[in-house]
Amino acid sequence: MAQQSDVGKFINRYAIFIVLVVMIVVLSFLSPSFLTAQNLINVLITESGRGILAIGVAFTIISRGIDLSVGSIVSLTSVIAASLVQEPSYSARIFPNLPLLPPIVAVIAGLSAGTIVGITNGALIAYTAIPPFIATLGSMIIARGLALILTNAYPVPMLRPEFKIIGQGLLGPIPYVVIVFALVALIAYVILSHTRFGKNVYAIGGNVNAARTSGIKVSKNLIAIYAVSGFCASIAGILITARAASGIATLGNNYELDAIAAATIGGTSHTGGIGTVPGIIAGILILGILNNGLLLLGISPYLQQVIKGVIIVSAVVFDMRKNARQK
Amino acid sequence: MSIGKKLILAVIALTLVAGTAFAQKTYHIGVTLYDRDQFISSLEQAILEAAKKYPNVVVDSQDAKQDVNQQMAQVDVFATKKYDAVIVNLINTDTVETIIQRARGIPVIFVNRRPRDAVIDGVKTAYVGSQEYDAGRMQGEFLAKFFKGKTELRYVLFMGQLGLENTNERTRGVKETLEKAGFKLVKVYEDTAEWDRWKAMNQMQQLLGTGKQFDVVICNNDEMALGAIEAMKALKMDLKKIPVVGIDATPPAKEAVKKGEMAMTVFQNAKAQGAVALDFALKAAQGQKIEKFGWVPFEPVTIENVAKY
Amino acid sequence: MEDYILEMKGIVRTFPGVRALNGVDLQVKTGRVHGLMGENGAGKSTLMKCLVGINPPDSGEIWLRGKKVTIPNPYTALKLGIAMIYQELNPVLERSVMENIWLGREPMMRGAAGFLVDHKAMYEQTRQLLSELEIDIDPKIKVKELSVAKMQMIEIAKAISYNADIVIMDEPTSALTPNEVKHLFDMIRKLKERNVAVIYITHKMEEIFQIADEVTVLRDGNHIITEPIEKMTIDSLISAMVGRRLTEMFPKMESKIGDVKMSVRHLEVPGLLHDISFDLRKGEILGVAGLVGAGRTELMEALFGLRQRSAGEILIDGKKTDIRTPADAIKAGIGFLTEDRRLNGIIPVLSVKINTIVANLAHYTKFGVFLNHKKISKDCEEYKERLKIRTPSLEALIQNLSGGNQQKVLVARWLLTNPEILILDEPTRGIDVGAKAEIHTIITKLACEGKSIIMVSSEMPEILGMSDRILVVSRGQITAVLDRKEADQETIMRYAAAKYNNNQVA
Repeated sequence: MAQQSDVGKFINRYAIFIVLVVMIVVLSFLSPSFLTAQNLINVLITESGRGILAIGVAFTIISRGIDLSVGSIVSLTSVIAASLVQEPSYSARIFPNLPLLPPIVAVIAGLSAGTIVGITNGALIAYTAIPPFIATLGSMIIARGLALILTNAYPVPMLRPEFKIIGQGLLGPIPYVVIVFALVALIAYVILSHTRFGKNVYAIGGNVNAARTSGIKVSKNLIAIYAVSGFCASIAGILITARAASGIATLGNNYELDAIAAATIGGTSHTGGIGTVPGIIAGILILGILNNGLLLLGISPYLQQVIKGVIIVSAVVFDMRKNARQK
Repeated sequence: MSIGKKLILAVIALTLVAGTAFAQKTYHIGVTLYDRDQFISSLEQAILEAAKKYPNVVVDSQDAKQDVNQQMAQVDVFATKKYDAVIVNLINTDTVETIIQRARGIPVIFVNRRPRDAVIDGVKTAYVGSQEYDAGRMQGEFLAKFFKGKTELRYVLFMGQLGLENTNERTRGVKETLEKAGFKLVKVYEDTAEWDRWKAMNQMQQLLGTGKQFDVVICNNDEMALGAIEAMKALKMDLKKIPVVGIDATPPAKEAVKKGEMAMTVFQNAKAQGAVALDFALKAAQGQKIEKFGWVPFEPVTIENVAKY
Repeated sequence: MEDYILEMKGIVRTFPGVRALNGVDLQVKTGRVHGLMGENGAGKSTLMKCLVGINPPDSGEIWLRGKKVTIPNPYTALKLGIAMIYQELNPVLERSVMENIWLGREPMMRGAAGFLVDHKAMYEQTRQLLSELEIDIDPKIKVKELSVAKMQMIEIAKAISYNADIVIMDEPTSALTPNEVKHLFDMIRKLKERNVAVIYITHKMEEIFQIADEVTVLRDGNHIITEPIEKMTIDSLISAMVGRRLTEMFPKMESKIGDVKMSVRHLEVPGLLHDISFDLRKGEILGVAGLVGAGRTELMEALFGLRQRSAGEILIDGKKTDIRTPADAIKAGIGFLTEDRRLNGIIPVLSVKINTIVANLAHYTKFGVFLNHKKISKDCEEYKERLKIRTPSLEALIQNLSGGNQQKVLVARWLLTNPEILILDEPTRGIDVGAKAEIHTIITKLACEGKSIIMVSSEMPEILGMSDRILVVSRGQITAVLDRKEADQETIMRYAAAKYNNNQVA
């Protein structure tokens, strides 16, 4: 325990949070509008979808996998949910004869679609030994295709206000989307740190043989892991759709890469078995604050991409160095 | 440069800054673009050019790269920075309510992508663009002159993505104009090629394979017109006798007009749209009255006037 | 009958190309320690992996407490009360000791919070378990912070924590100090008192006689004997383990043995090798024998510059040669055929041709850039003939060749570098009998051509059949250099175990 107080170890362990705090402090000096409640809430609103996505993807990365299909799941969820809550007065509805459904039906349909894609991913990976990268690459293309087929690539507009309220409503000063983000983060934290399933996720990623010889049913757990990822992606899909007030088949393009980036920056290791929810949240906030800060400073979004790339690679280099040192 | 000179310069600069600060307020205008394609880039350029005329206007232009989430975040930041007005080139017209809500009371001028009329109030919100119907009308007027004396027109029509406002309006414009001019329209082929050159080319090739005869090829945009022209050139068809018309006046389309391959196209005035948008934004920021709509006219482009564009 | 807790009958298990178990029987009594012995590749671990459902048997029956069972996966095995400590350690390095021990069966909270893991209870149970076993490790520490020996103790604690009545230990002492071994044996005795049957796999003679009640010997996937330990002697055990006849498998030719080619003096690699000195002559095949983990491969790696020595020197042709990297070694005329073809040797997805020349690309370039394909084809063709490499063409992917032919390609690769000294680490492991004989022919021919050869092998007959002299390594030290004429299996085995026997004093 005495070693824990060692400064180097402390920095290693909390590097990501230190970076986050430093960024906040620096931006507060550079832009007076940065450290305002409204602006911080705006960051949370903007990042809520991607944040939830990243949490789901982190489950797969911790288990030494990857989920590329989450961006497409966002779009599939978006058009499915939207198509079920279009105003009955709108003539070009996807389902013209649809009765007036309660919005919860649309939400459940959207969440189910994402979860089904996730379960399919998991089953492919568990039972056919296709590498996760390939399996989810396939379903990424398929899910996007389904979303385009369903809508003919047109937006799904004219959503009913009862549905839009999910994305635009407030509880006191705090938007619903931020509350959902916080809830998902909390639940994910409890699952990963305090449930048997969570322990299995780490064990499968850390040493799949150990998991197997300890009697863990690896296949079933893999299915559950990818189902979680798909489920989280579809939550994100619902939130963003309700905010945009439109189902969009191209929504969530490249979000899988943002999610992987956030998880990676947050210390989730692609060698498996390492990663925490607070780390991932820090990762997504770093990206979000970077985006917000550079906008506030009026810096070109293209330069922003360069900075983002540098941060991701640095995070991985740091991560590898850290793990190598402890070997 | 001597220290003395530097000092003098500094004093002059300070006086200038102080002078303008006293004289007039600086207006900050945020711009968010759906993506920087060729047309939108020239529109953005026009906004920046127009702003240069005012010493007290600062434009902050951002590219949302087709991500609605990012566009909303950009509007968020403009509002946070208490900008005086925002010019929005919508990615998705359904997001308009959220965008207005995120702007938190700052005037929002929409440009080029037209939101629902219901959200436009002419005080805090306005739309600057061109009447899509007019683009079709101009195609119709050109063709009416071209085929003067004929009564029947066998046409091929390539449409943009179905259900979009510009597809509908451009199509309606050209058909109604021709009908009003007394032509009987006979459909040989009519389908969407989704704005895409390759799709139009493939469909045209298949149509030509059937040996069906037609008098004219009408396209909702230049890309599809160029695709149709490719297919027709391969069969050495006479493009002077069977005119192909497009819309947008893109550089390759203007080349085609110069060579006489494309009979006409319609110029959408990005410069004017940008300038009007900035003008609206500035007026709204100052609390002056603005119009609900700032219409920028389309202009027909043919071999006679193509050099101008 | 009834006192057998476990009976395995006629177990057969094949892997692609290998029949690893050939109808093996095993009977284990309640509350006894059953030693399972045999040479490497005899089938000990495979048999146990059949029992715990990692590699379920192709045919044969498993009877547990008088009932026939099938065990398709480790989960079932654990539920039936069979726990195993694996030879290859199996911890999740990034997680804590307690999380590793209770993996898959974590203590849960009670009541409404029943879906949550009870970390407090987990900690308490771990502390209790470890203190019962007198293991002094913090349950919350990450396993990666532990030494290998401590990890081994955790694995043992974990196996015991299952309250299984059959505990399998596969070479559990390979990383333990004498004190820790003593500690382990105390634990095993405690298990016996609780009527637990222990199946104890080892190749260490002294351990078997210390701890086992019965012993079963396997050889080449066959059951040889099962006897109470009292009826066995070291000699009878060894002959049961290695007693195969020497055949024409070893076409050794007498070569002219010349001057000393390489001398190794007082070589030292911290923790692995101690005071290694020997000579290697021209035209000589020097066999290197020893138990697994004795340091044979590490010695070869040190000679080839893959491992840094802390002291000692290497002389080649009487000249001191400083070998620090493989490049130095190759320059000094040393070639090294590694132990694991798949891991270190072949590049599976490339052609036979490329695999042949890859260590020697610099010799096949024009202007230092472009490959000289004509020269490559000529040389590859020549070696294909000389070594009788059976391949449809030089362009075939090496992964489609049999193990024996892959090995020949690797031999060709090293011969192309024209080495004076060739180190072969387990040159015939996993190769079928016919190919073995061919490789042996190649080796002895090379010696006759005046090359100096060091051949590491775990197969006694190979060592005895091929070597001119035999170096026996035990725990990182040379315990004997035997002449071909004075060597026999039992002598070698005794020297190989020598440094381990000394620990019996503890």
